[in-house]
Amino acid sequence: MSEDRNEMPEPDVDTRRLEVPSIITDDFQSPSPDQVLENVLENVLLFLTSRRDRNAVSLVCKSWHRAEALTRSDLFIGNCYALPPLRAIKRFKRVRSIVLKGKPRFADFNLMPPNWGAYFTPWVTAMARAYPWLEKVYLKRMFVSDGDLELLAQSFPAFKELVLVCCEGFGTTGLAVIASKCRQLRVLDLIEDEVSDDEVDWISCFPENGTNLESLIFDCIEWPINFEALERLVARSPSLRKLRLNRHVSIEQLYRLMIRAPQLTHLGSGSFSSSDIVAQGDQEPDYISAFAACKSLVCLSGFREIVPDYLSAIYPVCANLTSLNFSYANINTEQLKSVICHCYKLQIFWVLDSVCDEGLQAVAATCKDLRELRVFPIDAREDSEGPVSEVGLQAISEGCRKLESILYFCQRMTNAAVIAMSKNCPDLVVFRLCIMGRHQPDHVTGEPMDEGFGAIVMNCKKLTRLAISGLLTDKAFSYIGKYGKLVRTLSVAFAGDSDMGLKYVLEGCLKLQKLEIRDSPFGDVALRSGLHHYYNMRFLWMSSCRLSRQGCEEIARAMPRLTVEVIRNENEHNMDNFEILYLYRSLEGPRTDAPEFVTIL
Amino acid sequence: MEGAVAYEIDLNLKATELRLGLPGTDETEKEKLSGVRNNKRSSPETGDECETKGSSNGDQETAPVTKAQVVGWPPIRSYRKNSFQPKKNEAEASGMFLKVSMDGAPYLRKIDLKVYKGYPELLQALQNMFKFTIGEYSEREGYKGSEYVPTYEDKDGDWMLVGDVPWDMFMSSCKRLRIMKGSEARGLGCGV
Repeated sequence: MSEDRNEMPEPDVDTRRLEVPSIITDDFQSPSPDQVLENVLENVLLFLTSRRDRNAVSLVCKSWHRAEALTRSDLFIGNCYALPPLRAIKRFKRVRSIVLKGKPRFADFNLMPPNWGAYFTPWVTAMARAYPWLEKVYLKRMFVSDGDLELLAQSFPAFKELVLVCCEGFGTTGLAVIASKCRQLRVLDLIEDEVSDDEVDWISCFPENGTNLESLIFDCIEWPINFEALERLVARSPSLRKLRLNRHVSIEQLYRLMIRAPQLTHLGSGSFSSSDIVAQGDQEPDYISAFAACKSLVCLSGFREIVPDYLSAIYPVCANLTSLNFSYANINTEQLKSVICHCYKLQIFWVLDSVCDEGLQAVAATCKDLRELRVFPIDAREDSEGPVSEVGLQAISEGCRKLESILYFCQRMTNAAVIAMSKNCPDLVVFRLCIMGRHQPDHVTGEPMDEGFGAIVMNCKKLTRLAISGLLTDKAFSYIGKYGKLVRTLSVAFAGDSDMGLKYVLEGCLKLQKLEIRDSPFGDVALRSGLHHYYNMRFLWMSSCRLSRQGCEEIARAMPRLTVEVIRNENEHNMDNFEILYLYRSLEGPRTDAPEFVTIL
Repeated sequence: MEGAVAYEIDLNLKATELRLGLPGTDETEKEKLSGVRNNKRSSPETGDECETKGSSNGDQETAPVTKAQVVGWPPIRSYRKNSFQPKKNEAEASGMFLKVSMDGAPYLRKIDLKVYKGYPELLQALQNMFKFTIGEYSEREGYKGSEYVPTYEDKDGDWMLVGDVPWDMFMSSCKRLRIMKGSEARGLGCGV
């Protein structure tokens, strides 16, 4: 992908204006037709936002490639190691927003040793020089240091949005710099990050005379914040629409914030319990009125240490809610029922299995518009009591016909219920079922769960993401390979009998992008069967399978543009014993920042 | 896939095999459970597992009471797992929510003893809850000069004055609380 040296200087034109510019300076003669066409193209391309469309456009011819590169303002990089920063910067010169994703998802579950990589530093350093007008940064599973945040705050005067998801490496020091130096900041969203506590009062660092803040999300911060400063911040942030508090904010403090910000649309309610448990005698704030005043509230979360007595406070907003996150709320069936019966507009619902099958039945009865359901286990062990089962799943499938996405943790399941869901919910795009006991069969028939997952891939024609569990033979994989033609992401754990299983998937799933497998009996033969497809994928992860080093080396030899990493345990010194194979396409060869326990073949 | 029929020589007897042992254990699997990772995110329970699969098959007759926990399974992020551990322990511990009655009050209240770190906090909370005051405690004279006196019923069924024993001992022996009117409390150490 080489850019030919352009004889004509870059048109001195702000491509963000909509009219075709009347061309340029005195040095030029009137522009050639080619130049006019290119300008027209650039102005048209400004309207093209889908990156897939843009990728297609860039392949038409050199001139289109150039025009597209000049007009792409939103850069999406699904794997930060797919290319070095300089290469991206060389091609795309006018980027305003960047999405960068780092570590593979299985790293979330402690399967990868720490310090594997995905550092933001080289990216922010390169962008600091190249993209002075950068406005938005979205990072997922990256290692971001306080120094990185400092550089970001210093380098981009127009910076508006910082969203960090599942990141680590920074602390309140970095947040303080962002708060104080990014004067145009509208969005600061910290979602499921690990934020270290340097005891810096970052909340106090926002500009004193008012902010442009529209969204402030910090529910993942495990340390108390300066509440008085937060209250003043909310008071001077008239544009604030989204506020998600951490668990150190009590319900009394929540009240004080809510009455200052009734315009909120998204609220994370903090602990939802009283800081003083014996305050009952005192005058309790009128929580119900505070909620009733929030007429625009559509998304509610938090409830980190909920005292169920306070649940009734949210009744006034239930009828407007489209999104409700109870996944930290340890509530029982009756308590859920009292709330959910009002939530008929709900589209997104996250909940703990403490509500039991009966709670899910109540959801099914009311939430006819439900699109996304996630049921998390309150006791995340293999052998714990399972309050939810196939009964809940069946009920949801019958009541929520528009369901598009489901994540369901349980201890027991049946094929029948999964088959029912495949038939009742044809719009399913994401189906993730986690039967927590490894190799658990259908608990009624004793059979493997092959038929259930088979029905899902067969009947749910829009399915793009699938996570399987329970006792599964190669048959399940043959179904997935045969019918899962749109599947892009597949998660496999403790499943399959032989290499055939993986072969079926690699040969059948033509759109497969992300494949993560752990503890399954797939070996080198199976790995070889994907050679035709690995360049089309974002990554392949296989841990604790039956691969050998030679098998992996073979792949590395056969595919030069693939980075093949074998990752050992930190304590493992024998270079041949590795836990994880992680391979991904890469434009310019292997990365140079790999730690000692990673070998790149 | 249709072309795969030729490969399917294996009748897959393993799946239907009857054996003793945890499901999933298999002699031929090289699968090793990963060792404990020194990762600030790992939660305490994942530290238990370290068996290599090779040694665990066939011998495990003790019907799996609790399975050894495998690293990263079920796939829940640590901070979610950790969110509920403290709650669970509280529910399992007994006797932390106690009834508190006060002479003359129409109904009882309940408090969670675990919330308080010691006697001063408890007594302050009781005073707030029931709107009364008590004097200072002394070993010799109890709650001298108070209209009300805090007492508790211990494991033996006896009514004791709150404050005599160390806090931990009190926590483990207290069954319920009663705020007694001072006039009745003579003999429990309340000064005249």
